[in-house]
Amino acid sequence: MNTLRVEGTEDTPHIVLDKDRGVLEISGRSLPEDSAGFYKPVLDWIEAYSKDPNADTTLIFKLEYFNTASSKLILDILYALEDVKGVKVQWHFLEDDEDMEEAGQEFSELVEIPFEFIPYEPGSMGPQS
Amino acid sequence: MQRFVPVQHHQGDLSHETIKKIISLTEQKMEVAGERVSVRRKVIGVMIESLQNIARHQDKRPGGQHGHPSFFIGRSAKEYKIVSCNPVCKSKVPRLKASLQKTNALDRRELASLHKATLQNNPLSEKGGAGLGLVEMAMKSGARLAFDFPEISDGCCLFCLEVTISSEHRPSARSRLKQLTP
Repeated sequence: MNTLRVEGTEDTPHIVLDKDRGVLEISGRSLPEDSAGFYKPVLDWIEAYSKDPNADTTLIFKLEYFNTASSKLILDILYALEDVKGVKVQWHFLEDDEDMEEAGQEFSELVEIPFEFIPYEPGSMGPQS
Repeated sequence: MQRFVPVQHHQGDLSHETIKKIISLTEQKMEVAGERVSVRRKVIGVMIESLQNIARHQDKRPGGQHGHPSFFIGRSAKEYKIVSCNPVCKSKVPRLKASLQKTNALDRRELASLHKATLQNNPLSEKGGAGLGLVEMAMKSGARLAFDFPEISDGCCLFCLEVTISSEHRPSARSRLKQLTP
């Protein structure tokens, strides 16, 4: 299964979906004009992955901003992985960004997937595959 | 009376490219001004919703011409004020007003519940909206949303929305809710 890699822009996130490593990463900003269109290839890849997943899968979110339309698609991504065994989510948030932390907590309450909350300091790049 | 210094303003149609420019310029100005990251994140988050809301829902004025959306962000010593105006058909005003009144009537816990239920249950609209913009802005602001619908022609009003964000240190609606939760 090919790795899906999308370079980030000022309004779309950096995406790496890598079956070899079992790591799915979405980072940066997500405020596309057409959120559903932007995330369709991501959801298609995850649907295919969920039919033959790795034993362990780490879904990493490290978002600076996301619009409310993107939040629906993030939830769709989580729903698509909810029944896959061995999935965990790492939710990175800037240590002062309580809204981003709380957004992650809200998602964690909507799906049966374990979440790990990881604060980072300003200037830290964190995961960028 | 607080005096607000303009940080950024725009008048005219809003394309996605224009929105990106407005956000980028505002971010640069706030960073140069030494604004705290937590405040920048809140302000930009509200701007994104406000500007994309205008772009998604701006109605054509009678005669086929677009109205004149406008956007303003200003700063006083204590807070930021984000004001957006866009033309809407009068027929949409009652529903919009009801949504705003409902949002303003909710306490912090109720806003969080509504946000979660909407996220969970509402599909994206044909225009790509999640139906969460007003609740999201209210939660980031922690204050009531101010609004008005002045009439600009037969069948057409301006929808003016004003959101304030404190630049002083104070817990957000979300973290205050967390403190309240056992």
